[in-house]
Amino acid sequence: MLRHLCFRWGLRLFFVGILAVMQLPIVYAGEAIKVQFAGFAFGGDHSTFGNRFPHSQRINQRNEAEGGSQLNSIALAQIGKVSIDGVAWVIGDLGKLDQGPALAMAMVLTRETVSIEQIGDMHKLVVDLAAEALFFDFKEQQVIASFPVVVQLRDVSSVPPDEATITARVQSIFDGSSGVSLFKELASSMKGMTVREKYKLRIGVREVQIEEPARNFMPTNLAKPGAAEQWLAQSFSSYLVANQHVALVPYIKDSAIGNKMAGRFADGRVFSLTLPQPDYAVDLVLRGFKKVRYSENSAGSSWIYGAFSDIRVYEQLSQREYFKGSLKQGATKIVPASQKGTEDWPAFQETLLKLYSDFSEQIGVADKDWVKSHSGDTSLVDSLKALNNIMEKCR
Amino acid sequence: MIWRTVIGAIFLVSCGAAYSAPVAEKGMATVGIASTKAASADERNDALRKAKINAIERYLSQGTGARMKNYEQVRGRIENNIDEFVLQVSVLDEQVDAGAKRYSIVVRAELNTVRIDNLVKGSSAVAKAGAAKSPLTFIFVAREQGSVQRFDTREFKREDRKTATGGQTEKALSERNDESQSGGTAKVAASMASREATNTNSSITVETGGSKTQQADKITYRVSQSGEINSAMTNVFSNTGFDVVEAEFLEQESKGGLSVTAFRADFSQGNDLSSKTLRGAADGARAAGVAYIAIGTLDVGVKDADPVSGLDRIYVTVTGKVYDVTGRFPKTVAAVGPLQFAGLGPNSTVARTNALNDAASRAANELAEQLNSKGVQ
Repeated sequence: MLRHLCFRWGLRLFFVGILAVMQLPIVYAGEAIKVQFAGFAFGGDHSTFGNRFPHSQRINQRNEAEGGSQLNSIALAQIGKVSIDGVAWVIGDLGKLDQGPALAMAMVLTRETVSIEQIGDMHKLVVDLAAEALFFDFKEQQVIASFPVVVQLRDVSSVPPDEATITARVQSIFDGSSGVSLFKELASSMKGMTVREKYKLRIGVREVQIEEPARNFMPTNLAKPGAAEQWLAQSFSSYLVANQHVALVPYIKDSAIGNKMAGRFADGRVFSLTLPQPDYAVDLVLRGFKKVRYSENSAGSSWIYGAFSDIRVYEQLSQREYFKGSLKQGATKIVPASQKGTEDWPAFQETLLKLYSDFSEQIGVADKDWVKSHSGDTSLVDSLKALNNIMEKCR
Repeated sequence: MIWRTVIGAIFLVSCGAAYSAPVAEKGMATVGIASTKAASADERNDALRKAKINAIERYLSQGTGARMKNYEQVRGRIENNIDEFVLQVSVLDEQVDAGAKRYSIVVRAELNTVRIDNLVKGSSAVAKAGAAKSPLTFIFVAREQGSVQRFDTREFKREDRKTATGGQTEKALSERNDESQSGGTAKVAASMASREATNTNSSITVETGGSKTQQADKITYRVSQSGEINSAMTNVFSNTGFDVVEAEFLEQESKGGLSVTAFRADFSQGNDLSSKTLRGAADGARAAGVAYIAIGTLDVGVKDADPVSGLDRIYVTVTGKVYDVTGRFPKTVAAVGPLQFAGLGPNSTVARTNALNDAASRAANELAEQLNSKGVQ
């Protein structure tokens, strides 16, 4: 009788134990969080993929006849090499997300731009790829945090690069065969960060305004509706993440409508994730660019490129502002006399990105000289110091 | 006993799987303070409590007016036990306005929406009615365009012409003789000239007019009462506290008055129900002891491709009304639509089912909340 009772109570405790384990979240104190790699994805409207990601689409379709996705094959081979503190990748069957841990990560490609510039007899190829390392709760279909990654590959050749060459260069960014690697950049930008299953507070770019003087200098691939705004928000966000290690809500133009982020995995599966409202918002205004000749001699000319942007960080409900300032950045570019024609956009872009990079580094540091040379408004020194408290809440 | 434990384990695990995510909402509050430097602990706690309440009200205000009306009935209970409804709070901003002696706080609150919703729904008249609640039935049909008869434009043209002609002829004749003598020679010169001019004019005035008559398309519908609509609507109305009787079960008891077939036939020809069908349904429901009838349509649109996902997308437009048939004349007590919902899927069947399911649930929710706010039980 006693043995029978012991058996029954033992069995009961066994089931209660199973229950307790099954109800536990996947957080193991002091241990790495399991993150299911969900695969490679394209962000935005499916109907625009061909125009927005022509080379990446071409690479991806190579494996389509065999029923697979080339980009997913590359991503699966690369992600294991990406070491992020506190993250244990679960890399397996991409189609069985529901059987893995709740936290998943998708590499969502958001921009692919290519520019070719002739310098003397040489041809300079610049490939920009931007992606979001999107951490999301698969079961709740909700974005947890996003970490933008932006990489640039530059190549010089004596002949103008043809389409096949450009596609090969783009592929080298994915598979890491060139010095520039999307996945290595992901690991690098997330160094020192802690990935959590849940973040207390998050920051995100909400409004982006590009004024006409700035838009006039932009290349045609940023002329599509929303493309320039997406580029600006993502560029700013990538530096904020890399330098401040904050959890970010990705910028989606018109996200107020439905608050959803949709996309399509490289193997055809679609997703629609709910975007949380950022607790702190950032508004960006790109006011314009300016180009001034600084000096000229027989060897060439020297130009100063300027970028001007307003940044506002605030809490939306109370409209309390933590930072509001107009900033500027200058950079010099030497144009050799042998160069046939000059493309201004790469210089303007570099100058603007330097401004955002420096701004994100200055949060908490608030160097008076930097503020003076980049704004002239010294009251921003205190704002930059105080902004560190907001960043601290979002880490 | 062992099996009871096993079943309990399975049930609890499934509850865990069905757990719905807490909703995060911001809340803000401002309170007066005694000091000009900082808020006391009590003042801060008071502001925090008010900010939590504000977060709940912001959450509830995203629903219908009916939902807020129901909330008013349980406001006291929520305010007095605020921590039961707020799972976690993060302070986003705190500020002291020294001049005005005011302290403001902004929070992000994770709400236990299941508990809030249950309490708000439980405050409705029907939820409190217990066994005394009145039965409700519904006839919602899904329809797709079966045939569209398009009529050519009927054109009428008229042309009026007016012609007018007129003019004059002018004739002139002149004659001249000159004689001169010089050296015994006489010279005679004569000249004659004539001129004739004729001016004629004519004008034609044309007036054209007419009319084009375009007759509306004659659309007939394929009507079906799909299972997903029944399940979704029964689920919503039942969870809200109503006693739901499916219409098919009433036909017999309504002594032939309520006829689902008659509804389908009427809805297959257009949006209007015949007075005979409506009257029969009202009389039949009354005879069967059913107080409320919900009637409506879910029009399934044409398939297209969703530009974001590339999946098949189908829109469903839903309209509906709830009639109170207890009196001599049926009264409309709730109405919804037209509202549109899109369903996505890898094929049109899945997209259609998703759209119908969503539309039926949302329409039923809206109707149920309106009934609750009017104290219908």
